[in-house]
Order: sequence, then structure tokens, then C-alpha cells
Amino acid sequence: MLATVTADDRTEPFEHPALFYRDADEYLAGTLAFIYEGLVRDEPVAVSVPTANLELIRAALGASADAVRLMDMTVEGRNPGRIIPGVLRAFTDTHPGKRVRIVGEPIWADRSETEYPACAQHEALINAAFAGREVSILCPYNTTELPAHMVADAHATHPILIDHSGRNHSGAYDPDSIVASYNRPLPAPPADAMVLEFEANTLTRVRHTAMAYARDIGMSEYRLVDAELIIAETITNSVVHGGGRGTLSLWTRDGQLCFQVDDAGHITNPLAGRLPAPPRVPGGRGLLLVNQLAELVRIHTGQQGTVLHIRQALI
Amino acid sequence: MPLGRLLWAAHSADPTGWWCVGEVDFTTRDEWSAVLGELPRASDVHLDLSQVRFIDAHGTSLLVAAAQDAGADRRFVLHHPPAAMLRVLQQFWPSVPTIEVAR
Repeated sequence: MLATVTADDRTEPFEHPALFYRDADEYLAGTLAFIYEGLVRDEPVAVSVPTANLELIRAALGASADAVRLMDMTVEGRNPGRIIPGVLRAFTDTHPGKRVRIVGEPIWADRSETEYPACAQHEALINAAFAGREVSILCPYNTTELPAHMVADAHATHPILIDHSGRNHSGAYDPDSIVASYNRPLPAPPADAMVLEFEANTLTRVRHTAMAYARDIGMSEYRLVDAELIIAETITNSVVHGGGRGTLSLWTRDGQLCFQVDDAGHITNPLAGRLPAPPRVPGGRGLLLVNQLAELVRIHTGQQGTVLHIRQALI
Repeated sequence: MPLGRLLWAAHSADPTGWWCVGEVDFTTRDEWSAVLGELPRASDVHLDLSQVRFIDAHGTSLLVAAAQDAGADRRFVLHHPPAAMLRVLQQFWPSVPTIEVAR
């Protein structure tokens, strides 16, 4: 059931419409209208979309492209958990006091089934992360290429839907249900995984053992620095917040190092690790750093404990 | 002075500051805090971190807090900090006026 939106019922300053497009013409019509409206109003505008769409927009903008911050979502937003702090807040926070608008396309046809649940949760959590802020985030969805369930989820994660027929309220808007329904058990580590039990007094040794594994499988020096931080932050979180102990499993798949950390904790704030930390407060940055550095972070959390599944490129 | 199994630190007179060896993680957090709590009151404080192999995000955040609290007229010079510390500074504190990295 769709209802027509009028200007009068807009009391929430944050706008989060989905743009359903079937082809390049509809894509450009929807995104350029949004971008030009921002430029005309002197609002800072950023675009973070997959590579091919970024080039479409760049070419269509012509000279106006210089006035827009253009980012490749397959790089900056590879890990969906990084998009709120590393792309959206990173841009809005550099323009305090101004209304800001962003085209953000976090879901594309090549997103894997492993990545997708984190993408849907990210789209749902945008609403809580930006409630009350003077920000517009337009999220394009390719309805020709994406499976129907992903388009259906977009009805639940976006209060406003735009397509070739116009702009409407979503009758299915329910972001909390998406956060909950994709909080799913993760597959157990494979039989060839290295499994390391840890507690406070073995944290350092387990990190060293894990790093020897990462070095042995040929991880580059640059990635090793990220991997060591990811391991240190996740296993420390288990000791501090997750019952004092946990299990770290490591294996490699598809050119990625996979880490899984199991502990007895329960992450009750779904925005944990997604909001920038106040610069003058020490600590509290572990999961945020992991989100910034990893290629994928999946979380299954509840009363029964927490499983973090993390993937990192080897090269 | 020995600060537990994984972190050692010694005062250095020239330049004024600390020379540290080891790693900073959850297990050496308190010792690292102690080092940062006993920094000389000189205008330039030098931390030789060339023998520190790893510092986690909390360890770097404690150093940044110390530098932010020290006053604008002082300078913290980090000598050869580990790559993990540079990565964390780049992510969260790309420019702290009182911190200078010397490589």
C-alpha cells in the first residue's frame, strides 16, 4: 500500500529514500535530480556508488563533477559496516551546520550471499544513525539485476520509495525487523581452520600465533598490520566484554583471510562499531577500527553469545 | 625498568623522554599508562618506539589523550612508531597538533 507524500508531513529532517531504477536512463534521471537540487541549494554533495555507475554519473555531471565528492563504493564501502562511519559520517561531519546530501549505493549484483546480510543491516541502521540530522541519503537499487528479496528488503529499510512512477511512502518500512532477521547463525569454521582458545593471560601469545599463520599463507606486509590490529581488537573485546575468554579460528578462502571469534558476550547496541568515537575519549574504538580495516564483518549476537566473522584481503 | 613480561621502558636524558621495548596490548595497558603518566615536563618529549613491535588502538588512544592534555606549548615526538600505531593515528587522529612523528 503506497501513499502519496506531501511536503506537509515531513517533520523528520533526515531523508532516506530508495531509488528503484531499471536502466541507466532511470539511474541518471533519479540521481542527477537529487545531486543538482543539492548543488542549487549550495548543499555539500557526495556520491558513493559502484565503479561503473560512478563513471556514468561523473560523465553526466561534466564540469559540475568538480563540485561533488565522488567515491567508489566497492572500495570505500566494501565492508558494509564501514559505510556509516567511514563514508557517510566522514562526509557529513566535515560540513557541520549545513544540510548534506549523499547518493549511497551499497548493494550491487556482485555482492555475495555472505556479504548481503551485512548490507541489509547497514541500510536499516542508517535510519537510527542519522535520525534527527539534516542529511539526505538516496540509495539506488537496480531492480533489473538484484534479486526480488533484496528489493523487498529495501521497502523495509527506506521510509520513502522513488521509482519511475513517482515518490511514495513505504507501507513496509520496518528497519528493526531487518536488523533482527539478518542476525543469523554463521557457518562453523571449516575443518582446516586453525583454532585457538584465548583468555586474558594468553591474548598476546594467541595474537602472535595467528600472525605467524597469516605470514605463512603469504599475506602482504601492509595487510599484516591491519590483520594484527583486527585480531588484537576482537580478542581483547572478548576478554573485556565477552565473558573473559573466547575462541579465534582462522582459515583462508578466495584470496581472503577469514577470522571467526566466538565468545559469551551479547552486543546489545546494533550501532556498536558504526559511529565515530569522540576524539578526546580514549578507548571504545575496537569494533570501529575492525569495521574500518576489514573487507567484511558479519555478526551473530544474542543471549547465547557472539560470533564475529571477519574477512581481510591477503594482498 | 621492567614493566611486566612484554613491555620495558627506560628514561632517556638526551633527548628527554622514554625509550620503550616490547608490545602494548591489553596485557600491558597499565604499564603503558604508567609510562605516559611519568613523562618529563620538558617542552619536547621524545618517545623512542623503534623497539616497540605493536601498539593496539587503546594504547594509541592513551598516548593521544596524554598529548592532548599536555598543553599546546608542548610537543610529543614519536621516533619510529610501529606501523599499527600509524594506522590507528591515520584512522582516528590524522592531525594532532602536539604529536610529531619522526621516522
